[in-house]
Amino acid sequence: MLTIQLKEEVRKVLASEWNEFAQRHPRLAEVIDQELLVEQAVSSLQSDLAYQQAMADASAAGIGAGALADLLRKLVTEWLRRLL
Amino acid sequence: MKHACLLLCLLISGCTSYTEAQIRLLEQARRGIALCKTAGDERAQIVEQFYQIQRIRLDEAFDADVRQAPALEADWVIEHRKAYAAARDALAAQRQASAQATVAARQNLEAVDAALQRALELEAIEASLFEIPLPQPSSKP
Repeated sequence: MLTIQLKEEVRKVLASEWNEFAQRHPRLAEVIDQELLVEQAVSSLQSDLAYQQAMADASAAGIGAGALADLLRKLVTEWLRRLL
Repeated sequence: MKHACLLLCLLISGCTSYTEAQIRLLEQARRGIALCKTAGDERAQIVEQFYQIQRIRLDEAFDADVRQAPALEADWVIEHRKAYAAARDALAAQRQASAQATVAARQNLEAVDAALQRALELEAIEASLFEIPLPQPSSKP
């Protein structure tokens, strides 16, 4: 998984969760730079062993791009839930 | 061929002006490096101020949400704290990366300046060998 693809997926997941978060924490949502969170998420995910293992397994199993994207979305969502 | 031409020029005109020109160019380059260093320091100060302001804004936003929350439920407080910590960490990571880039840029400039200084010293040796008067340092940048 290229960093740029991972970043794009993180951005999408964060954007989908953001409105709900902003309703619960409006002032914080105003000042938090989403792009900074994306950078941090990408960096954390890339050094996360569970993420690395899941991606290696998916690659070894030869799963398609669509399924890989779904798996990635799930991993990113889980990571963001832990974060936010 | 190039060397022969250079030697011929030096024999005809002497090497005074050539050495002087080299010294002046090196001094000019060093002044340029000094200007770059000053500009880099000013930029670093502005960036540092930006991060300080961002941090203050984050703290104020955290407090404002807490004050405006109708009821402080445990889950909300935990989520609020996690988001605040994540944003603060992200800001700190970016600030550190920026500081490291500033240090690297300054070290590069210092290395260039040291090389120019060494070249100037070599020119000074050459000038003393041929008894060439060294140019007076000019105050113009």
